[in-house]
Amino acid sequence: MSSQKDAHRQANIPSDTAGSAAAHESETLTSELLERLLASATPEAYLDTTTLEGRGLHEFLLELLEQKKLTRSQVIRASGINGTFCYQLFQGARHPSRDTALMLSLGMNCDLQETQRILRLSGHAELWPRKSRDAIIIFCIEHGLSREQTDDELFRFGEKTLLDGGEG
Amino acid sequence: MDDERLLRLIEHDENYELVQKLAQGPSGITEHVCDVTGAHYVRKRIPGAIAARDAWERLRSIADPRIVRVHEIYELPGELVVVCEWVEGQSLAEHVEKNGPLTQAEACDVVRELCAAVDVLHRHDIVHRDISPTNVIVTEKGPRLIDLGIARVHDSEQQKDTTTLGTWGYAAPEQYGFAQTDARSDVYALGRLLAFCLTGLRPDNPRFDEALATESSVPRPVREVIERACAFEPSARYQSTPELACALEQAMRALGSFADEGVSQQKAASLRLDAQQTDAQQPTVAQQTVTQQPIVAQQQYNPPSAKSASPVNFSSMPTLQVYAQGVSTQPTTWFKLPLGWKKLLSGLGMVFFGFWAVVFALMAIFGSKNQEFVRGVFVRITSMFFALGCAAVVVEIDLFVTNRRHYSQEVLRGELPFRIFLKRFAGVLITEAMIFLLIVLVASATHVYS
Repeated sequence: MSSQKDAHRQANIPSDTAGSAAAHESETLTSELLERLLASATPEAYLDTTTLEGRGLHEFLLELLEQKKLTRSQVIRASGINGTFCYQLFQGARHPSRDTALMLSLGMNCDLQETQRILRLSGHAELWPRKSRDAIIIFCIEHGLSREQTDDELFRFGEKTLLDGGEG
Repeated sequence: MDDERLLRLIEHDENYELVQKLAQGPSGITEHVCDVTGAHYVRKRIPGAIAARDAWERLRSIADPRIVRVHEIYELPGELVVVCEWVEGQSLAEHVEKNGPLTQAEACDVVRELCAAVDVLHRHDIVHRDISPTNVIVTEKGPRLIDLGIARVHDSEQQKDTTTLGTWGYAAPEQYGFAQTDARSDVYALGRLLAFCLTGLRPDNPRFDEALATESSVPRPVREVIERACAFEPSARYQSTPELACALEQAMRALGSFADEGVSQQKAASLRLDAQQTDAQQPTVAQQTVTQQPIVAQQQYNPPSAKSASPVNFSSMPTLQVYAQGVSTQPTTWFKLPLGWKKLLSGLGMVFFGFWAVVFALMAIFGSKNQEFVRGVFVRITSMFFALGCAAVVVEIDLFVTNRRHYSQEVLRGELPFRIFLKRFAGVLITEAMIFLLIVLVASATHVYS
């Protein structure tokens, strides 16, 4: 139980916090990068010698599609996002809002780490358990609920639903 | 487009299984796909900003065995998706790279076939804009034109193309944004393609010009055809692919290597034998046009109509017969004068004819009141104008029959020569009538004839 709680705690700590204890390889790598940056004398010294995140959101989404053996039409139906907008997300032609990114991750059955990455790559704040709305969404993701079920839970708690906040 | 319809289109698009991505570039993504029945296709995803849906719709209606067939077209957000048939065979570029330059007869066969294919496109007002050796597949039935990704419907109102794409070395100068491309741009590309076939060298090769000037590989009559087809100024080129085919045929006749029965069957068959051998080989990689990305050779082509497996007899091919009937013999001109003189005479005669017509009309209206108009030298002058005007009509007919360049743009658009002549004459007539009316009004006002 305690190890489970620890694992949850590690997964919930935003990756921009130094000393993140998250077990995922990229979280550890980010901490190492941060240490290297703080140890550099100038920004150029760090940037010239470090390969930063080169993958865009839509490349990551395409990777997820292939990995999870999903089709775009399935994701569009499951996420509730507008078809044209969602298709353009996969093309890299559009950029999602935070709620739309969450709808996308729920539509693709992403786990919490994948969801946090989608939020990070789309330039939004990651899910933070100290916020009640985020906590409900984290719970729903961890329990494998669909987008509609997540919205039902948010509505039950009097929180703004994802469909209301997204571009869907 | 409503969501449900879009979802159905996306699902239909996802029913095609991706076999291999062939190329990716500014003109879009080209993929080798197969459908649920196992049939193979080429799927092109063309960015919406540069896609020409009208051109693709017209292409879908074309059923020429030398042009790749369009299977279906649909739109997805931000892109036009075109599914075309999958054609097996080496590209012309690969074939020449592997076997060396073509013989003169082979090169002429290929280019004349392509001229016929491109003419079909032009008759539908489509300009290919990307004719190059990598976009010609050598099959056992002859060359096939593929990759119409940047083809456009010609718009006479447009000054220049909205997008500048093409293969360097084969794209005409106007494709770089100077003016709108038209049929003559494809003529340019065919000229360059002919040069490539004969020299075995791409235009960007430093030895290309030297090889083109070598008599043994490119005889002078053929070189002159290439030079004219590839003239910088579009009006200096052959104005249509039938003209180019005709000129090439005449050049080959002059060389004595082309007989009325057609090319030597042995030489013609060698191109097809090579194509047949490639069927048994692994797919090879050819150059993609715009992006220079590798492209995998394509699959078996099953034409709708069966053809004989024996070496090709060109005189039996319906396309060349049509060409022979319509274009191959150059009509004899009635007046052995330079083109400029003929156009000047025709123009002057049209002016005189118009002048006579206006004066005659005025005489008919005002003649009873003003007898001075009718008598005297004025009648003789107007009679002379009438005679000159008739001569203009004769010269104009001669111009059309012997020099299509004078009418080429309008004729390409399907206008009848007589209507073109009437329109021009009407313009002259209206202008002269207005000038004459002005003169009469001024004269009346100043009481010249009082």
